[in-house]
Amino acid sequence: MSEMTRRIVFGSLRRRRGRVVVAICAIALGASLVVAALNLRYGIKERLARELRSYGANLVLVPRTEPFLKESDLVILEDKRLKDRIIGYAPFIHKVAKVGGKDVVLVGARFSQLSKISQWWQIEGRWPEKENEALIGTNAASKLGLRLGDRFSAVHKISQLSLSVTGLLHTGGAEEHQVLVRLETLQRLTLLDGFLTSVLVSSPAGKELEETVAILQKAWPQAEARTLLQVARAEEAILARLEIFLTLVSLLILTAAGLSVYATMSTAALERKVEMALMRALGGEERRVAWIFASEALGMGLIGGILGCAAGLLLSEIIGLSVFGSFIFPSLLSLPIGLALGVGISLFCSLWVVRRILALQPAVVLRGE
Amino acid sequence: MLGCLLAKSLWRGKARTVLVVLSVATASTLVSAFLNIAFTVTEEMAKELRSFGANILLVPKSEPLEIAIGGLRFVSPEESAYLEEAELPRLRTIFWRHNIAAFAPFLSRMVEVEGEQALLVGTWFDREIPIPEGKRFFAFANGSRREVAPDKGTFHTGLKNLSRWWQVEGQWPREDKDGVLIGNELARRLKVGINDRIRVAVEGKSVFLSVRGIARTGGDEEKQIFVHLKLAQELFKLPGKIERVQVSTLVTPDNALAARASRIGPANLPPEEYETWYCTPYLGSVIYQIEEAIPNTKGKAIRQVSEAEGAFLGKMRLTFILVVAVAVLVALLAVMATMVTAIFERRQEIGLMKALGADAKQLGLLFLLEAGLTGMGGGIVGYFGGLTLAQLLSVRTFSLGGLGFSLSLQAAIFPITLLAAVAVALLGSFFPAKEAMRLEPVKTLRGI
Repeated sequence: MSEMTRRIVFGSLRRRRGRVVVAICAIALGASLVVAALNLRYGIKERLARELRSYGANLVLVPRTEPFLKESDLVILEDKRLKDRIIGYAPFIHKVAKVGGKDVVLVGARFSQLSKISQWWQIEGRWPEKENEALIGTNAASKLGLRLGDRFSAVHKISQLSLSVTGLLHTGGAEEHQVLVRLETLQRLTLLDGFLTSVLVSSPAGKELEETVAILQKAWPQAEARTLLQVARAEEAILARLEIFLTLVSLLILTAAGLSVYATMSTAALERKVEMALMRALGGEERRVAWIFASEALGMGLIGGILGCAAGLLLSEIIGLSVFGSFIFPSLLSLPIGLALGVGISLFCSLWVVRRILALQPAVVLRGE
Repeated sequence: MLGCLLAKSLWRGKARTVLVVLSVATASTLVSAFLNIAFTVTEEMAKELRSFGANILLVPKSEPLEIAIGGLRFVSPEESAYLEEAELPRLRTIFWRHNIAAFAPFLSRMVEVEGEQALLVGTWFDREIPIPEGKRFFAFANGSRREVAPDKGTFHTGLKNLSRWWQVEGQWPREDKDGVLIGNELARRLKVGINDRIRVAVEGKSVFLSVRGIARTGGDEEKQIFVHLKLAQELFKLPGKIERVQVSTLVTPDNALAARASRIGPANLPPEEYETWYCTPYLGSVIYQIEEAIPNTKGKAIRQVSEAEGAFLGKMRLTFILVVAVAVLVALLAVMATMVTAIFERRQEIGLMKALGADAKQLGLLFLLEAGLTGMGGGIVGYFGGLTLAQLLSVRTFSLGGLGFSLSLQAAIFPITLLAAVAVALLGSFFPAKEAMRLEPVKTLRGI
């Protein structure tokens, strides 16, 4: 850039400070909205996928050929390769035992892990903590005549166990007919130390789920990994719809933001009709005049774009925070797109208008017709 | 004079007028489309979710204690309790009858299939049932009366409609009597394939059935065998009896009122609130109405499904409202920018009028009227454009046909769209017009 061009550009930017600020604001606004929309488009999907995971497992591991799984094999799920793919898991053992002379299904579970993947359970009372405490399904409780705080004994073959009720369980599912105790307690009662009947696994939905199943099959050949289709299908459908919807909305926002930047930039360029004609009349080459205006537009586009990216990130985080109560991970793609929108549109608009004006006779423009 | 000026100015600058109207129309298209979507999207999502399983389970009031383990299920005979199959169509006569999306009855017992123990489940696969005429008017304690549109007369339902996530290899049994659907795991264990005949034995009696399809669900259903309800009732000697019903209902997420109703019981709500609660499709109120319609029934919310749905829909609604607010904001800014350009191009005209003796008040009126008119025009065009766009968006996004636009909703959206269009046009022309008027006429006329 020659010395003169630079002087002209900076001089004009300084003199027209108000206009420049307005143009930069328009660009920044457009870019920020685009960045925010794109961030939400990607970030929200991830958040929602996580969010959905708190509502139940989508995989179940059952023994393939043997009657039981080994508890010691659970270390496989803690393996580095699987750790990222598994949000939570809970091992179970199911056995029928007699309580008060009636047969009932006893479920052994690790309550700390179970509570994480069963957030929809409604518990009257509290989760069991100690060895001989039990959570009891509402229907089982009413049929066995048990209430909160009652003590009862469970009999399996020759062994016997004394338990107390710490919580009543409402789920609307099979759990309402069961008695839940600690995993080790039931294993001891049924003399099945170290054995499991199933493991529920909660894992990120979508394509990843299939990969997780494949990895699980390989890593733990004694277990059969099954997708719980009801949960998995619902998740996939929701996420796919959401994706289409957010993409469409992002496109609309992109168009609208582009239009607003276009309008502002063309106003700014039109205003300077006379200035351009004067430069031409004084002997400025067409190319050189266009270059002056283009570099101005470039500068404004850059500043506006950068400001817009920052503002857009902030905006999407505010939305993420108010909807999910936590930050969403920004999409790396959004920043270059936001910046490109700012620079591209401002450059394009000003060149478009400048070309139109330069095509006119300077004399005509200067006479003000 | 003013009217003449207005008409002439709009007419002479045809191209410009069209541009401004178009840009206002674009923005109001967005406003109206988004408003439409924001109001209906959660409903659409809810419908979508309903194809993924029931959210209400109906059982007899004296629900027996069942021992369900490894896909098998036992109930002690003295505890067994049943519902009547004949009473099921009444589900479609409750106040929220149109929100009952699908339901299917079940009756199951342990049987021997090819020498192996398995659970035989009788159900409706795909049935068209006649619906009795339900109550048309619902009267409430406070004297108000609500009308419900009558049903069509028949209703299409069954397991196939209720459990659309099931993967069925082969086909669903039709309404022929001896077709069965068999769980994947059971089929593998028995080594049976599609069209094979299997022997089912109950209490010494045995029948031959043919396998129509193999079902994969990931759950306990894979160890079970599904037959027609009628056949199961004959086998178990329980004519007309069913044990449980799964119901899929469209509901709105619970709010404070629903929470209070479930805490203190709906009967203890004040009459006005009771009516609101009764006439809102909360899960609780739908269950309450079902229990009213079918005596001796207990309705249970399948919490895994209903909780996930409620929380998800709540989040979705908030997200959509925020995204829509942002989109509308951009659209409005775009219009404002166009208006600024349009007025700016006319500063010479303004200068001339001023030089000819027009005062600021007259000029302001002229420009604001012009903006108002173009805004109105754009708003009307945009409103209908928005309706079309919303329709398109929802068809692309949701597999269901179009949105059902209710008139009351449109009565709110139309004025809002129009108001936004006019306001934005006025705002957009106000500042540049004011600035143009501040300038010396001589200067604007000379083109500086």
